[in-house]
Amino acid sequence: MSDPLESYPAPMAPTHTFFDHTGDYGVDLRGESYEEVLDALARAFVDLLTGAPETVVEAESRPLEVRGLDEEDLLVALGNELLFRFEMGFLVARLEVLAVLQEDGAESEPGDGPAGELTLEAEAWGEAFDPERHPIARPMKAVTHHQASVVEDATGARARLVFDL
Amino acid sequence: MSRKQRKRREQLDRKQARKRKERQGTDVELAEPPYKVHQVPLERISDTCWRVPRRGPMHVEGRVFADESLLPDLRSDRCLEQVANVATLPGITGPSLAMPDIHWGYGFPIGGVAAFDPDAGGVVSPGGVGYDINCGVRFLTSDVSEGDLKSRLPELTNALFEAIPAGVGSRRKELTLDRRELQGVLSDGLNWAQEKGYATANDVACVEERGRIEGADPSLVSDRARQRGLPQLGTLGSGNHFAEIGVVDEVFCEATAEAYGLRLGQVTLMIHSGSRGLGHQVCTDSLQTMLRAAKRYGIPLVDRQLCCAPIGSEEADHYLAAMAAAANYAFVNRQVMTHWARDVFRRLLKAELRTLYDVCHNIAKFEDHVVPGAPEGSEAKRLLVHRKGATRALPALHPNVPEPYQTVGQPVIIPGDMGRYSFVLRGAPGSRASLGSACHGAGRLLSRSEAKRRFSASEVQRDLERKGIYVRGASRETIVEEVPAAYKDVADVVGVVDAGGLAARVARIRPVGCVKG
Repeated sequence: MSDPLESYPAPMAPTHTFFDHTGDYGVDLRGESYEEVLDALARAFVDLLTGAPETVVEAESRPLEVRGLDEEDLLVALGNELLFRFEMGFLVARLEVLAVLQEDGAESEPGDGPAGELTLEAEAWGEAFDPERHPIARPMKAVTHHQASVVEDATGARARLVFDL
Repeated sequence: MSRKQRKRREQLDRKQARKRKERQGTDVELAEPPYKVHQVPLERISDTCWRVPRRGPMHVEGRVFADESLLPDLRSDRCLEQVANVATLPGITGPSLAMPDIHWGYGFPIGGVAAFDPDAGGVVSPGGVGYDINCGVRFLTSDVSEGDLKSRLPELTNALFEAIPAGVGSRRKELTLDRRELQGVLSDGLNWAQEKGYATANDVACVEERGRIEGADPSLVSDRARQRGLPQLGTLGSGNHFAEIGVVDEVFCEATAEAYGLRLGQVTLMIHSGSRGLGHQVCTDSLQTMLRAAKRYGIPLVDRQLCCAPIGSEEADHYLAAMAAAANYAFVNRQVMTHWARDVFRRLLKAELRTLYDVCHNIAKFEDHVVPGAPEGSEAKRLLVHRKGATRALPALHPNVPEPYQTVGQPVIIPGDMGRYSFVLRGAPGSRASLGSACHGAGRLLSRSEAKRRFSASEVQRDLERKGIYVRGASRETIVEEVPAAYKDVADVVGVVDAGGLAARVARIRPVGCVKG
């Protein structure tokens, strides 16, 4: 097993901030790029779920592949993938994005380029869920498309998601 | 990275660079929907009904059942926008409806009801059912009186807490399903439960659709959904799910109460739960399919969570068949918890529990209705009714009301919060205006964070115990997040339903013991 600290990238750019949404929670994600926003989601997910993300060790990595119609859909699909992994007993602490690939697609409008679907290939770093060590602060039921959005500008990438609790 | 991957990576980089350039210097806000109704106008129709006028891409108007006292709460979030958004879906027939406990949901508002005509390009939208397919309530009556219970209340609540697994990762050790048995649950619902000895004939007779939605096809439930559902059958879950011991403390209609087997001082049990991870996964899977379907059929979406497909299309058929399977799972889930609750009541109190009724909150079903607003004498049509956070409320003599309740109407179970009261109502003829629907609960007032800022779990538990209510929760967070003050007073919501003639009050139930998920 490799030293988790060795595989940890520096500096830790991806950030997240939670906000209220009636009976649920939303999160604003930020990173230098869309790929960092994907990692920010993994970190936000484990933070919301456990309330103590430091309890989840990057003991092993597992390959992860998710598809989406576009950047927003891919983000939602990743959130639901993280939830599924958790229910199957694996907590993801961090995402190492290997590639976000775009399929060739039809021109949606001149100059807009291919509009094919996106595939995320990543390594999910984390460990097996251990109820003795990992508190569950907020049980989560789904990651929704409600208000899902991704914005990229000169300052980097931002995204918003709402979790169904 | 292969050459092919590198090429695609470069494509994406170029696209993202172009997007950045376009957005440079502009103040781009996150999450602005393409169609916004920040100030949704409301026109008064009556003391208990308001119109959202048709405008822009809306095909029909919206109708909100509420009185003036509830309007400020409705305006505090964006639920009215969602009523208008639902009205933009193809083939919607009759108004986009909202029950008085309406609040901001995903796509559809929670408390939203809408019907779609298969003959007029109507659609099915998984967002109109929600993630927790067939989340609903089972209401049981006992032959025990409050006086017999008092000293044993903590013991009974603790025993229920032990018997009904709650919270994240909860599993029922005594019941391990194999894949073949899960197939039976998904296709046969309560028929499976009765065959296995978990349900009685009366249970089956007193559950909406007799505990089995027609057309379920387990082969269309994904492997992931099955994996999530296998260990969770017979578990409560988390969030606002609960099992609550109550006492009938007021009767509004003696004749109906008698028909329902309700009497003052009687101990009751209510179980609120749904289809657990299996239903959530079915919804998640179907949203992926429906997003692509909406694109293919050229359906404009004002909110992605409203993605849909025309009734009769392959995508719609698949969703309805998988949704029915998840709904059947939810019926069995509540039934298995009922079975173990019965065991506890027999063991501790030598008492029996009888199912009064079991209603779905989140479902889409083909039903026959006269379209609200249609001229007097219009014939009923077969419509696909979506209820998201709403209860079916059929009046007396309706063919779908169980035989024992034919003369009084279908029981309508409306849970409140764990500190005040819940209500049993009966469906009334006025529910013709609401596609045979009524509210499903109190509706949330405070966000979860706000509840945590204002209260602590020990404070909530202490206050409730002072009022004679004993609470056990799978987590301290849930107890504080579900503090009674986080909810509207359900009496106000029920008051609108009663005054509007959708359903009539029969009895009020005071909570005395609660197991929270």
